Amino acid sequence: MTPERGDAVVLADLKLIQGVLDGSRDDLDAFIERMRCIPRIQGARNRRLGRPLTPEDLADLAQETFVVIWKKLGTFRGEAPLEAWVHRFCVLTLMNSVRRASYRHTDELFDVHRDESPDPTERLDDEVLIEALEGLPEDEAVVLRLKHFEDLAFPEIGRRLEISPNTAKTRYYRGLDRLRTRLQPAFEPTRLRHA
Amino acid sequence: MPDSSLHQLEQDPELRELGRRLDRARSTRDQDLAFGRTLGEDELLERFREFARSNPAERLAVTPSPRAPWYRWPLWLGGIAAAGLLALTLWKSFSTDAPVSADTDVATTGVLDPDTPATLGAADLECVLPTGPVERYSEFRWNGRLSPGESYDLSIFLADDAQAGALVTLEDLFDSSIRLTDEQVTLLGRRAIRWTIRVRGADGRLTDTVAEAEASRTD
Repeated sequence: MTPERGDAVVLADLKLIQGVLDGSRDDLDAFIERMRCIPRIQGARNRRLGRPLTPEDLADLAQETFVVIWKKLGTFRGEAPLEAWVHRFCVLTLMNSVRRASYRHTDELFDVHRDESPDPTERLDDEVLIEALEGLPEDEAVVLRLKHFEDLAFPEIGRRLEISPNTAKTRYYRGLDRLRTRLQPAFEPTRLRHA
Repeated sequence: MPDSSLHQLEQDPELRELGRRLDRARSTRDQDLAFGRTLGEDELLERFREFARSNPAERLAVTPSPRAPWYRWPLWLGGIAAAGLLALTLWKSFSTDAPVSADTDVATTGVLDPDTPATLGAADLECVLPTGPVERYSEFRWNGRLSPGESYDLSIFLADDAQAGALVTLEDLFDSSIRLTDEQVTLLGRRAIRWTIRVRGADGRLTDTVAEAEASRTD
């Protein structure tokens, strides 16, 4: 996706959300249709983790996630496409749910439902990274997301956030450095260097 | 951040590896988003729709709680407030980070429609420059006078998109200024904005827009 096309997409998404907030029925229908991504994202994640959650758990989780998203709708700022924004909530609620499930079923859980062997490193990379990103100051986290998840260069990030490319770059490295610090207990430096 | 520190971070192999891992997380996310249809999806969407219709989504709005009449406030509380304000004013006047730098300046134009009927006691209402850290639009002030039972509504829009709804709506304001919450400030970012003030009468009805102003970055 070109940066200009990306800008148009996020602007359209921002308008859609504003329409929903204004009570537009058409926008609400369009928004609900877009929320098909919730069960799909969580289905994919659950599969990758070895199916720790049952289909019934997933259906409950999708509704729980939708409620969270609905309550947070006013915070959508159109920095990234709607699905990318929703994805964060999907992964975080899924991880919470998996944790709850693992408390309930103790260590048998992963063996019972597993149909493939997820690589623990992959799990560390993905879910832990996403959770750690959420803990960063928002001005740094958004630059990291735009750089790596939306594939934008610093000038494009600067344009989207209305900051200078240099500021975007500074926030990026400051955020990356902070992310490393946050991940230190889980991420040994040697693994970072040699993985 | 000093250039030397930034350069050091740019060259840091651990950070580069962390960046590559973030790229891989993106790849996994893209796979998530491309995941096919799931069982019971349509039924779930219906439940979403039902929930959404029965629980209207809300903007980030601040509705101040009803205020007690001024005469119920003890006088000493007023004294403390006045002393606090004085201390704050003095502190701000000596604060080094108070001035707005060139790249964060905003140009603003107070616009008052002279033809607006001076109804509801709002004759000389006009918007003035937001004060405080202007780059973040944290505080809005206006001039006006309310009659008993009236209040202000403040709506903030994107300046370049008049058709879109308000980003932030603040209702039932009794003072001629409001400080936004951090969430609201973040929501506005540094985009050019337009804000309007309306007076809500004692009967709850709103006047037409009685004052509006725009602000945008000038750098």
